[in-house]
Amino acid sequence: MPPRIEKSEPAARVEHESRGQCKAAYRKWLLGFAIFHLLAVVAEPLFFYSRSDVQAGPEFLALRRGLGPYVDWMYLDHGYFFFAPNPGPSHLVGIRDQSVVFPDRKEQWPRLLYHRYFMLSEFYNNSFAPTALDPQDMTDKLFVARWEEDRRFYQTLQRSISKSIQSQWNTRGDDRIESLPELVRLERPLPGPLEVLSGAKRLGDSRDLIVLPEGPESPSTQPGPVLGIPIQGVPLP
Amino acid sequence: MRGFGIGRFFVDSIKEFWGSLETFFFRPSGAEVLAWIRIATGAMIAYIHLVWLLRLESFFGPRALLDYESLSMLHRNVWKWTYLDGRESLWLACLHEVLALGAGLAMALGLWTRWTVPAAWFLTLMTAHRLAPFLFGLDQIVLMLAMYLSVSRCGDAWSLDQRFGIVQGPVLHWQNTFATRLIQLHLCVIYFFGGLGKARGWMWWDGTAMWYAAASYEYQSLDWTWIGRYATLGSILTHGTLFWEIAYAALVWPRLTRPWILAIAFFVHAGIALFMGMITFGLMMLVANLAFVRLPDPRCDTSS
Repeated sequence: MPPRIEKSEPAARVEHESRGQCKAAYRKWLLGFAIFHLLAVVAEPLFFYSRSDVQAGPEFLALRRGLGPYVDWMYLDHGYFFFAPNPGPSHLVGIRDQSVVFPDRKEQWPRLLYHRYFMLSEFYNNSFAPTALDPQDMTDKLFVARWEEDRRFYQTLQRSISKSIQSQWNTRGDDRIESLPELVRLERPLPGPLEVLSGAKRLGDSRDLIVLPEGPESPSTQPGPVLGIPIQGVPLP
Repeated sequence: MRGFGIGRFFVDSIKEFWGSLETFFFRPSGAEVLAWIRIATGAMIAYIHLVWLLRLESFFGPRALLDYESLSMLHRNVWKWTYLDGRESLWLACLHEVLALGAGLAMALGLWTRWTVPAAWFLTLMTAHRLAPFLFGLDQIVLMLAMYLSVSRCGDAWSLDQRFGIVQGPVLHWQNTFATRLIQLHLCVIYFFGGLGKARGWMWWDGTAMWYAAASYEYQSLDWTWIGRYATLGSILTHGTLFWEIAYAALVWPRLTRPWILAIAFFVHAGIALFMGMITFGLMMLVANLAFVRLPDPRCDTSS
């Protein structure tokens, strides 16, 4: 228990308190900094929430841009969108012709390590840019330029993850693959309560995974042949 | 005369507001609660870096999942400088992570806190910029707490610094108040925008969000799909969470409502920790809420 200052020692108390006071000359500067910092804290969520297909709120855009370096470097660039706007389907990453999927609770332990891989698989899916655009989208030059940039990043990220996996398999002496492993995006839709409670669906069943396409075509609901695993009612390894 | 009176009223109001603001941010307070937050945050920082070390080669160095080219493209339009830029060698990354782990432990133990707390924050920040795609709410909260603890005197209580006389006993200090207020305000921003984000989704209005959170296999740590049998309970919990998050920023300040708001925070975050596989995140959110706990202190009254 830390020692307490006795009330019966007013002199000592005054001395203690005066030592802990902020000098009046510093206060306005510190308050100014606090206001600046708190503006930086709200800059990203305000900008994030004010965005639409038409525009971002101009005043919030200006605030976010003006405070950009501080917001970014201090790691204040969060919209705080926890489970919002709705809890959504999970996204995983598989490897074509290999029974490997991440995140994987058995492979990645402790739970925090699993969650790191889960975040990477969500990030990989969020970064997705299709191999081609619909013809009607090709008329918008800005849209095309944005897509090209996004596509470059997605391919770079894809190559980076593939190379890392290949390299680590080779280090382990596991020569299952000679060329770069091909990543497959997977989605696990959220089932309704009736499906689960009636026993028609089981959470974690690999048959429910949807293989997401790399191009504009429709998703496939046959993960088994793509991943090289038997389609059974068991979680993917 | 009338105009003069109004002018004086405004001047007096501004002076009064300024005085209140000064009291709010600078009235000296003790370090005990911040010391608890420091212990938990330091331990969590150490754990975070221990987990990075478990798969060092996957996260850092030439064979990392996120290589230099990807990281450069990811950070091309943002200010995210870090010396761990994807070209780092494995031994440098290892040294960095071990130092960060050590700084986290020293922070938790309260050893040389004036240095180790800012060091733990900085080293964790450098890692965060390197590994942005792997991060989630836990990293946001831990870095937020470590940042504000860096400007406090959280080592003045419950610390080896105090035990060994490196700092003088627990004194009231304005830096503790300043840091506490910033944590409190930042927390209000998090909850307010978290609530607003949920208010944009239909599942948070039709009462099914709790079910769909329970049905998310990747998050699940304990099976709580039984909640699907009790649609009304699920809906009440959904709406309770939504309104609590939005109202937090307003209702956590009055003494009358604060205990209730913090009690709900306890149940919400304990639920996330136990059922949704995010024990670290749930725990740190609970720790952050300690900033609103006021201990009876004979030296001062900062409960206002």
